[in-house]
Amino acid sequence: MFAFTRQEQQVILFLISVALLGMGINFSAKRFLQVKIIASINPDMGRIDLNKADKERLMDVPGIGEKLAARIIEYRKQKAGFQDREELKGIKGISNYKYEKLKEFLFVQ
Amino acid sequence: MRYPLVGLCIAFCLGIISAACFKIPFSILYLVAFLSLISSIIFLKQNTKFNILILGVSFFLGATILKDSQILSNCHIVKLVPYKSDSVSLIGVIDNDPIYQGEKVSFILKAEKLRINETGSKTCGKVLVKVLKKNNFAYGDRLFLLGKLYRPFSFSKGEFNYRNYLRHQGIYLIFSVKKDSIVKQLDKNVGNPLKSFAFRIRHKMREAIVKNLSPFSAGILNAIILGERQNLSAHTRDILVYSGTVHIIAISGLHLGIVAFIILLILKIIKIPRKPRYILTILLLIVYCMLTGANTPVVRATVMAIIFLLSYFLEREVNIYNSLSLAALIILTVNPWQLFEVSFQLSFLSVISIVWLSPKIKSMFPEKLNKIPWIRFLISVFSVSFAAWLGLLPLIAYYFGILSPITILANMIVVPYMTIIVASGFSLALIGILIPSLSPIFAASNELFILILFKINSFLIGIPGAYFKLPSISFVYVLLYYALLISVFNFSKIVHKNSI
Repeated sequence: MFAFTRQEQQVILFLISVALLGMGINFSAKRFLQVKIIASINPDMGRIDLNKADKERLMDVPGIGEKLAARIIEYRKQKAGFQDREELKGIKGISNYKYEKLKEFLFVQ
Repeated sequence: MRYPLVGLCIAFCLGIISAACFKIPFSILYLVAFLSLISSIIFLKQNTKFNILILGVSFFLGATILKDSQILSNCHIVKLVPYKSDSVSLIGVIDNDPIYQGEKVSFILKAEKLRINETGSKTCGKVLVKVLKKNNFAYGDRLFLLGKLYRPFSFSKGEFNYRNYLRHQGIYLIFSVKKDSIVKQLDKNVGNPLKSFAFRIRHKMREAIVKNLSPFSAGILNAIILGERQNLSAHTRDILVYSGTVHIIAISGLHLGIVAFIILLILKIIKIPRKPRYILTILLLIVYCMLTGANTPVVRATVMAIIFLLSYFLEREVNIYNSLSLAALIILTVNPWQLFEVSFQLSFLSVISIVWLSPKIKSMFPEKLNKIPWIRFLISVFSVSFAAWLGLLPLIAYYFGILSPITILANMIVVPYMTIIVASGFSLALIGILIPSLSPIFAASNELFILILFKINSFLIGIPGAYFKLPSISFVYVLLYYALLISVFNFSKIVHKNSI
């Protein structure tokens, strides 16, 4: 039941050698790889630009309804743009608590 | 009959089990495997020594592969995350066909970049993502996600442990995205184009089925043909579990066999010559395997079917035990933890018990009955069903806690019947895509077939003594049962031989 032909022996030995070699390389790569810290994830990715978003876009943010969006745009027009996210706290309807919830979704260039 | 791979496969499996039970460092296992390999090359010409050494190599290779899968890269995501983390940004690529269940979508994400607490790093590893949004996700999408990362709870139902189940797939973390959180699609179709193609076909087939059948029948047919089980009610699943026919909703060797048969038949009818016919069938089977999510039983059946079809080209004899061993070696080399999964064990054991036991059972019937064709058919079907039942009985009792004598009868009816259901289901799906106006005709017949299937199943489990629920048993009893089974059937072979 167990006899190997010469050809079978060669194939099996070849496959096992390749497997061992591959595993050795894989193992070294895993052991000696350094964790690469990258700064290339833009922390503002996925956030909405306070200065460029229109009303619809602002309403995409959970917690900003029609009235609040209108007030933000009004504020933006008056002050000719936001300089910092913190200015949101000055808008009617945005308390400190609300600001904390909204700030993750918004950014200013 | 020569089956050289069986010994190697058994040694390989024993190696995997040993490495899982004992903590031996990777370097030692690797060294021993390497040394055994060198020795076996040295003793290449001395058959006995070579055979023993090659078994040793297989054993240590199995152990090494398991150990290797336990060692995670330094940048693996689970090493970068404390026990759980609340506000995490993740960029990665969807690695499977997303599963929609009610309001939730879940998929596996191959992580690429991670940001926790304002530090961004490159990472690797797979994460199970659960999203409470209704976006359209597809295999190969590169996504930016904001959510919570945590380790899966270790809850168990019967013998199943969810955390281990995920761990065996290489998933150590779950990422959950709430309804009002951010999900952004950065790229599309970054994955394997063949897989994307297979999933596209899957979606079209699912659409055709859902459009043309009643919700209940559509759910059943989706489960049978595409392997989508998450939308079946627990009641439906229970009927199938108790009658022992639940394997029809797990894409398995049976499905692949039927599909292979249908493809070969159609290609023969349109007069494609043998060589291209086999090659085309192999390609289509690979597509079907990917389309249904490439679970272990399908991969096993696909590998065996390919071996069988290729044997014509390689001019080698096909031995089932050998092919089975090759399929097992391929599956376990890719993921050694599969050895401990139910689907792997049931899939391989069912084939082994059918191939080994059903000839012996058939031979227990008197010779003259075999002369009448329909009785011969009945005996064949009975032998296969009984062989499978005998072989799987202890595992079903261990994992599911039931004993179902009715399985023997149920499978005798359902397994041949599956040919009709799979054939008509596929026809409906394909006609639904190609010539939608003809679908209603096929739809009506499919409804009827599925209705009959369920009437039969419900009737069978209503018979007294159809199934029994069992208390949980220890694995020792499983091993004892198999020892008993093997000795009984080897003994009966001796008795049978003596009586001639």
